[in-house]
Amino acid sequence: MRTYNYIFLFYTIVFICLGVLLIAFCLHVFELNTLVSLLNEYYTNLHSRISLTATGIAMVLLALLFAQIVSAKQEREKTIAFTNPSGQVTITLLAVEDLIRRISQDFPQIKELRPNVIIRKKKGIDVNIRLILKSEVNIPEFTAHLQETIKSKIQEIFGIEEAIMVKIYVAKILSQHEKTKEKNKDSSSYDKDKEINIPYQTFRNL
Amino acid sequence: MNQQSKTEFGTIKIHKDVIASLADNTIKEIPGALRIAKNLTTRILELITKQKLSPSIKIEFDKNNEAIIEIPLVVSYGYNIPEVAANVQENVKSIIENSTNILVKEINVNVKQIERG
Repeated sequence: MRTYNYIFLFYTIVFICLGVLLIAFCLHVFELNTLVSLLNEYYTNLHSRISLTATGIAMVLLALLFAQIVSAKQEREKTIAFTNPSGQVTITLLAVEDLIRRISQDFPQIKELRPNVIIRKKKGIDVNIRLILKSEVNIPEFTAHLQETIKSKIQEIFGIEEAIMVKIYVAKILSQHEKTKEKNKDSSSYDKDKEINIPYQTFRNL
Repeated sequence: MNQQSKTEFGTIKIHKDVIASLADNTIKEIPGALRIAKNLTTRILELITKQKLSPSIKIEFDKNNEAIIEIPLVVSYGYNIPEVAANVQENVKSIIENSTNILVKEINVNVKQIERG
């Protein structure tokens, strides 16, 4: 049995016990006086407090360990891997997404780009892109160019030979109104910068 | 934690951190390899202790005392990743074997991020 299975089992038991205790509490299985005296014991007795603190710390550490193991497992699954004579090279899909974001910076027409890379078993790589455009462009032409650039860059930089499918979803094209709004925002922030008071400036005027 | 060897005068122990530092310094000199990627735990610990911790390179030894090294890497934008990874593997292997006499079995490079270098 792997470590995370043990931790998973432990937390399952803990949650079942907690659930049973809550149900028992609601059904008045325990007497209130017994509960109060028990709580009082744990609240005042130093040894009980120390043991409770240790249990709490152990549970927090176990939870953190569990989270780390699960996230590492998920990350391992989300990689492209190939082997060299000296060892293995794995590339996380986040790195592929980083690359796509960097590519998008070369296109001034793009306001925002959100990539999502998925690996299809034996069928290659799917790149799903959500796009917000800054200006009115010929969308079929522009997206075809973007698809081609992304595809060729991924193949060139990662040395991937599998089929790459780039799907683009144009979510929004910023209108003239939105663009001027944004420009105003920029210029107003620039004005604010201009209005910064220089310390002791008045002394010079005097 | 240490890799140990014996000479006629006594023992020589090389800490895993030394191997990690050697790898880290070598990587800095390879074009396209920007730096070692830090995991969340290292980042939090660096924030708390306000000290630069040793690079997050995992080093393990097999039954034959050969090292298996795992390197999380940040690569500069524009470089060919398989080439950069192969360079990292070759250079790190040779520097570790030459400097410490430890045999390197595998160097696994894990490209975590791409940044403009």
